[in-house]
Amino acid sequence: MAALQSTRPHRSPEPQTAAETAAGTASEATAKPAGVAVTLDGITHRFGASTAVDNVTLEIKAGELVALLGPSGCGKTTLLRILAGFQAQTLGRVVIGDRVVDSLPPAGRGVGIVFQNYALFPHMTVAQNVAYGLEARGAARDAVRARVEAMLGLVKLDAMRDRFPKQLSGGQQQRVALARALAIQPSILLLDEPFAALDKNLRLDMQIEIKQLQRRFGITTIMVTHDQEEALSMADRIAVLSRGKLEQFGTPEDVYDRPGTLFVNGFVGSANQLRGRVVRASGSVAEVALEAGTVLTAVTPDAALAAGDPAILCVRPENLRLATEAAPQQIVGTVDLALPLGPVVVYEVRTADGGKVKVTEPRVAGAALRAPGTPVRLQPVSPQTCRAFAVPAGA
Amino acid sequence: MTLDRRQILAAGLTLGAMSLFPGMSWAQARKLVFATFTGSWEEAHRDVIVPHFRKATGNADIALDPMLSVDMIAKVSAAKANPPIDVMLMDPGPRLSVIGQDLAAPFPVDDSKNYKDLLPVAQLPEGPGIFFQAVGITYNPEKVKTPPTSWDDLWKPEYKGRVGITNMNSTLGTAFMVELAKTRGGGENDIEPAFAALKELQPNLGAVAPNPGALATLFQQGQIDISPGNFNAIQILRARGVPVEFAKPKTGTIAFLTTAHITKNSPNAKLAAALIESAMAPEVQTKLMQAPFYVIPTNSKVQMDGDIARMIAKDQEELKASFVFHDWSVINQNRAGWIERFNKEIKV
Amino acid sequence: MTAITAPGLAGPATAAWPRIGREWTLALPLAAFFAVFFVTPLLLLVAVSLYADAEMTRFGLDQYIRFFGDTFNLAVLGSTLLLGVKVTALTLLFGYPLAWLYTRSGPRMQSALILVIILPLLTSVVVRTFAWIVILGRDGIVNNLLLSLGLAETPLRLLYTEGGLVAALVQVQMPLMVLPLITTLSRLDPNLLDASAALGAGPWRGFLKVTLPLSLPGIVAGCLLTYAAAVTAFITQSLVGGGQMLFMPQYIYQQTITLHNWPFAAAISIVFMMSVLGVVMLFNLLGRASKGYVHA
Repeated sequence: MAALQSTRPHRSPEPQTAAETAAGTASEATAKPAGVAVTLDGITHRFGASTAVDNVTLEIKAGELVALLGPSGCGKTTLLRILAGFQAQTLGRVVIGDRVVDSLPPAGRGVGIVFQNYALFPHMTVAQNVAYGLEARGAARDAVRARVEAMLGLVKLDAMRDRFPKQLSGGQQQRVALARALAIQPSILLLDEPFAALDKNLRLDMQIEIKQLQRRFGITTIMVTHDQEEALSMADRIAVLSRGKLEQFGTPEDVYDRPGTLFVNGFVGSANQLRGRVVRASGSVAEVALEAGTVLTAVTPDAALAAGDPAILCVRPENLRLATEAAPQQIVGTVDLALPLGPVVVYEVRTADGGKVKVTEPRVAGAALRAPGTPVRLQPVSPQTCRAFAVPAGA
Repeated sequence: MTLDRRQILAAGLTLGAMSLFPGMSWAQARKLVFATFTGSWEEAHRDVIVPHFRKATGNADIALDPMLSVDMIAKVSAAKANPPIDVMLMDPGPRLSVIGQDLAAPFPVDDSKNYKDLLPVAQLPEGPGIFFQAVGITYNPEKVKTPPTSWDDLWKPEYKGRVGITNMNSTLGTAFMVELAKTRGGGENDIEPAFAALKELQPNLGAVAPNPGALATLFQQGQIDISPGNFNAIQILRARGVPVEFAKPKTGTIAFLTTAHITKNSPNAKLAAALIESAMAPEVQTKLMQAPFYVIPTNSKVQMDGDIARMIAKDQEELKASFVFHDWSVINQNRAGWIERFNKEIKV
Repeated sequence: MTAITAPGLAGPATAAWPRIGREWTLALPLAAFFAVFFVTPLLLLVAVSLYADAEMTRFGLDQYIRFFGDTFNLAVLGSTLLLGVKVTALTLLFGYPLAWLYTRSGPRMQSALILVIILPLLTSVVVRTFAWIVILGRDGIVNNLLLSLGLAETPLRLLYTEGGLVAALVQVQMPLMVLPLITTLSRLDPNLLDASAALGAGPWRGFLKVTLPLSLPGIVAGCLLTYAAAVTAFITQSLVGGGQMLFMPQYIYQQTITLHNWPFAAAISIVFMMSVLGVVMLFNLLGRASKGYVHA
């Protein structure tokens, strides 16, 4: 993408630009153009009295793939629509490259978008769908044809060029949508729940394919999803949203291993949430006396906990191990249920206070499961895997 | 959406079925069915003739079914053996069709008390005349300051675009054309002068109404100020406060006799005759002559008064002198050709 | 890429084919109704039209020869069919934005709009037509407005003109156009227009290339209903059109009710019906083409 200035008219790639780029071959298309950086600066959006997006700030680097992750109604789709220009935010700024694009319509923002249901034009063939954006931008007929061929080659749909969307499978439809979005050489690619409509096997194939395309183009990509595995496997960074607020923005490892909030810890991956009270707190470390009867050392990401505060301690099942010998900082209980899941076994352990704790253990072929009623000791693999949070209001 | 299309469709079909079969709810045996005219005629007949009839017959069951004469003919001729109507009202044109198609039974003249008191012109054994309708010039007195006295007044240049007529589908429109021909040397057999006159009238024509009812409402809308008009039609407008007056042209008021007929093969022939007897009675016709009905009587014993005395005739002698009747047997023979010609020639 | 199967797509399509069972018997009452009250009278009509004279004494094609032998009759037929075209075109022109507005409105606005759209259907056509007489009269609303704004010096003649008739018919038939359009437009995926906009198309291009072609089935259905209703609208044609403008329905009425010329009336009825049927079939062909286009 060429240098972008904020004074530019809103038909972003001008006809001749589109024509030039459209003339490019598939090999040129695979060259790695630099994506652009995107900044969402204090975005707030209200629908009447309800706040859909509440003061969200995200700085997305050029070429990055960012997932907006959250349960339905968390504001992630609204945020995507604001970014695309379909909706005007109540407060805040959207900056694409070095341009503030708030007053620009979708066409002027240089975004390519793939909708959840693909939104292919049902009355147009695959080729016509892909050509739509190029024709709208006034590219010459030959240039359009060449560009369409290149894009169809890229998504391996050359043979389907004259089919109508209804005659294609879900995966093929998605690739058409992708080709259509990329044909106009957008500086950002937006994906709205792109894999939700695909069945499980196909989903993984498409995830790999999109990830590869994204790498090859170096195009800044923002993907909306409610599926944490999808976010973890595909994204460079994940923005976790809840009730319109940004909970955490970080790499998948950050979000998974070092969740910043109780919500993130619970939403991404699974976690045992154990109630207790802080015995001692210093810096970002606290000792929590659990209702289950043990004192565990944990990291406190929000550092707001003081001795005597009620707290919730989170520890993932895979970060607990079944100890053979008694030691400090162990949770004592009895096996209630064993669930063999192939590579691992999940045990549900009942603690002295009647609470339940899950723990996973690698399954060894031929080994007998621990029978219900067996007494066990659970020990966190390290204090860093235990995280203590203040008890949220109303919980 | 609160109404879904299915509900609307269902409601529509139900309503449609109900209107297709209005008789769905009948349970009683056959009443005497009196096919009267629509609008104020039905009102007048229900309020005056029906009570008189019921008193005379010991509360015989009767139903009024208002419609046009032509519709009565259509209904009766479709079921000659078992007609759905017992008493029909006919304008002069349709009357000839009824007689021609043999749809009416003769009125038992000899048993009648009132028949001999009718004006001679109304003494018709196929079905006596029970009232007259009169066509003269109707005008808006607020716009037309000098009351018109002649049909020729419609051609005055001051009424440019203010004159209304109806087409020849109606009795009114046809009678107007015949009268026009008569005043200009033609007649029932020579309509040419009327068409020539109508051509000259074109600059003055503000509207050609599809029927007399529509013509009357045009006064209300201010669309026209002067037109040939039915005396009874304007009484309705006058009652509602619309400024309309009726003027007698000096060449005479065009009159039609409305006749009542016993339908042939009626199962209620006796009651039908009794109803017609009531309609001829002087006390009924006197009441009908007064406000708000203003029906012109055919019984010579009725004393004229009120608006009828002022606008139509002060007594039977003046009525005889001022009424012009047309020969509808000749008109009927020529009418199809005239209507075709009117269709083609008269454009506004 | 692994082999792609799409059971989600193939499934509903096959399931949508109804298995032919005994359900068709449900249509029997309606079929019987049609046979008795529609087909039989129609055959009678054809039979009556084949009488050579008004007195119905001998058979012959005289009525049809008379109809086609006179350019006046052809002019009446032509002006009736043309009236339908004018009304349909204007109804589409005004109805489309209305239907579009409906699909873009919030639920409260939609309830209000549907009421406005349906309202004409809930009042008698005679009442609506008389309302138009009040509006178009010399002393009517339009003329009073024009005079008070100084746009006209003397009242214009609006009533009993073709323009007035077309305006009244457009209003009276509007629901027939708008309801099918709403159905089609509501089914349009709003993402399609967002996609069009994001791809760089302006609103007009999006409308012409996406919305309009995809709403073609609704347009065809609406035009079909409006056209058929407009050319046969006897009451509105006679009350707003007046006594000197002759269209086929009045012509038929005149020949039957006033002149009792049943054979000629039957013949012109048949001619009229076949002409309207021809236009309707043309619409239908368009509709089928557009359906193939959209659901290919």
